[in-house]
Formats: sequence, C-alpha cells, structure tokens
Amino acid sequence: MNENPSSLRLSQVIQHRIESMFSQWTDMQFVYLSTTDGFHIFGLHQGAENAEPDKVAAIASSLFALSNTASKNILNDELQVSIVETMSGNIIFLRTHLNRADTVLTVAANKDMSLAKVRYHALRLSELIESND
Amino acid sequence: MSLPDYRKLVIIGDIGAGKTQLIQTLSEISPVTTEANSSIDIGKDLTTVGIDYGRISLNEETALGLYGVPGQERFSFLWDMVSESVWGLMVLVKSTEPPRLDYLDRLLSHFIDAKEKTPCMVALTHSETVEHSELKNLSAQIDLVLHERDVSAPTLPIDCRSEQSAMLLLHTFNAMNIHRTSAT
Ligand SMILES: Nc1nc2c(ncn2[C@@H]2O[C@H](COP(=O)(O)OP(=O)(O)O)[C@@H](O)[C@H]2O)c(=O)[nH]1
Ligand SMILES: [Mg+2]
Repeated sequence: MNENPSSLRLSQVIQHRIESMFSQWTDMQFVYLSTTDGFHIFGLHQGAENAEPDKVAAIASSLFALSNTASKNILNDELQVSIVETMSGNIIFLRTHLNRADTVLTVAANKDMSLAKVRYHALRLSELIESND
Repeated sequence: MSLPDYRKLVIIGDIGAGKTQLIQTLSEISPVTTEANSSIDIGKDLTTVGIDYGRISLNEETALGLYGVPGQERFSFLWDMVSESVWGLMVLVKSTEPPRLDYLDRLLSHFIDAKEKTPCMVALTHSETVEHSELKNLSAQIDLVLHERDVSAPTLPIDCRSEQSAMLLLHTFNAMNIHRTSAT
C-alpha cells in the first residue's frame, strides 16, 4: 500500500531538460516533485543531504494542504504558492500538474538566490512539467 | 465568567478507519479538514494529509479540541506535532479488516506517555455490520496489545457517522477521566 503511484512519471526528455537547467543554478539546493498526498515522483539535489525525498514529499503535502485550507477559508481561493523563508534560504511550494494530476513542486535555494528568482525558476520548471502530457 | 477548560483529544488510526468522519460528526464548529486526492488505491478518493481539527463542548466547564492526524507512517512528523499535552488518545480500529496489531502497538508507544498514563480508548469503527462474536474476538486481541504496553483502555464499538454513537463514546471517555485536569 505504500507503493508510489506508478502512473506519474516525467518523460526522459523533460527530465533531461530539468537536469540541465538545475545544473546551472548553483544556489539551488533541490527541486522535488511529489503528489499532493505525499509521494515522491522526481527530484534533483546538490548538497541538502538531510532533505530526504520521501520526507520532503510528506511534509510538502501536509504544508500545502494546510496552506490551501488557510487560503480557502480566509481568501476564498485555491492556493497557488506557499513560501517558507529563513535567514539561510527559502523554500517554495508550487501547485503544478503532471499528466493532469495535482502535484506539488518544492524548490529550495540558499540565501544567495533571491526569493523572486527562486519563484521565477519554479514557475519555469512548472511549465516544463505541465508540458509532459 | 471563566473560559472553559480546554483539552486536547488526539484521534488516530489506519486509513479509512473513520478519523475525518468522527471529527465531522462531533464538531460543533465547521471542522478544518486537509484532504488530498489519493494517488494510490486506498479504497476511497480522498486522504487526510494534514490535520483534521474540530471542537466540542462537553459541558459548560470543558471543551475538547479534536485533533485527527493521518495514520500513515510517512506522516509521523505530524504525530510529533500533536503529541504535546495530550489529554486523551482515541485509537480507531476498522473492525471489518484484520487488525494490524504491530501498528497499534507503534501508535501506543508513540502517543502514550508511560509516566503520565495518558488516558486511552480504542473505538472499533464500521462495527454495525460485524457479528458480536467477531467484535469480541477483535477486542480480545487488542486487549493483549494494550496489556503488554501496560495501558488500560476500554474497547468499544462505534459508528462514526452517528452522532449518538459518537457522543456516547465521548461521554464514556470523559466519565472515566473526569478527575484528570487538563495538561495545558
Ligand atoms: N459504515 C461506517 N462507515 C464509516 C464509519 N466511519 C467512517 N465511515 C466511512 O468510511 C469512509 C472513510 O472514513 P474517513 O473518515 O475518511 O477515514 P480516515 O481515513 O480515518 O479519515 C467515509 O466514507 C466514512 O463516512 C463507521 O463507523 N461505519
Ligand atoms: Mg481522514
């Protein structure tokens, strides 16, 4: 029952394109894609050894669901992005779709990459993932 | 007028046991739910990935915060988040499926403070269609696990969809622990 959802895969082409983008962003720590119910699908990281993919997937799904509950109850709207800021870096949780299934893209970068930039890169990655179909 | 004594009841159990339903049935405020579409076959479409929260007044002096957390072990970091100052623990066991006794044992070891002797209750859910003898048998197996952990907790059948059934369970639980004061 703890098997990952097998139907959700990124094509080789998209994976390679994400890999080549990611390799240019030296201040980015990881890019993980997971299901909204907390299963890891795909990920790349440099350093960030403690950001274990399965753990990040579960945390991302909880945080995203809680933030979505907040946005729906307070702003009456669906959540698009949730942001975590610290002194040493930022994490962005972005709603995206893989083969039309709801997924969460988690992007973490150290403080040398501005929040605006992390957000911009996350959006580009999300567009790429949504073109997977 | 003083504020009511606020206590925290943690509700835990396997997927589909009825945690979200129980909080929906009991809560007097519109409950906070955090469900996502399940990407694997779990016998239902939605699964809780965050927290279910509800609230119920037991009487004028006591209010219970109802905290439901996902049963899957990948969410055990949420178990840690709610395990502070627990007034009571309610473990839901789906009585139409073979019991996962190892899992029950892990839940107890996680949530029961051995020193404080956190009050605990086991609710056998989906029990309306299960034979009385089967429920007795299930309850005996659960008692063994409880006994090994030195936890004394009643095991009672419940239909989480029924307000009457859920309230009865809650009042039984409260009556058992009436002398305990809130930890918060
Ligand atoms: N027949 C019956 N159905 C129940 C009972 N408790 C929950 N359900 C139903 O079982 C399904 C799963 O319950 P849910 O609360 O989502 O389980 P959770 O995974 O523990 O949160 C829902 O359709 C509930 O309405 C029960 O005691 N009896
Ligand atoms: Mg649930």
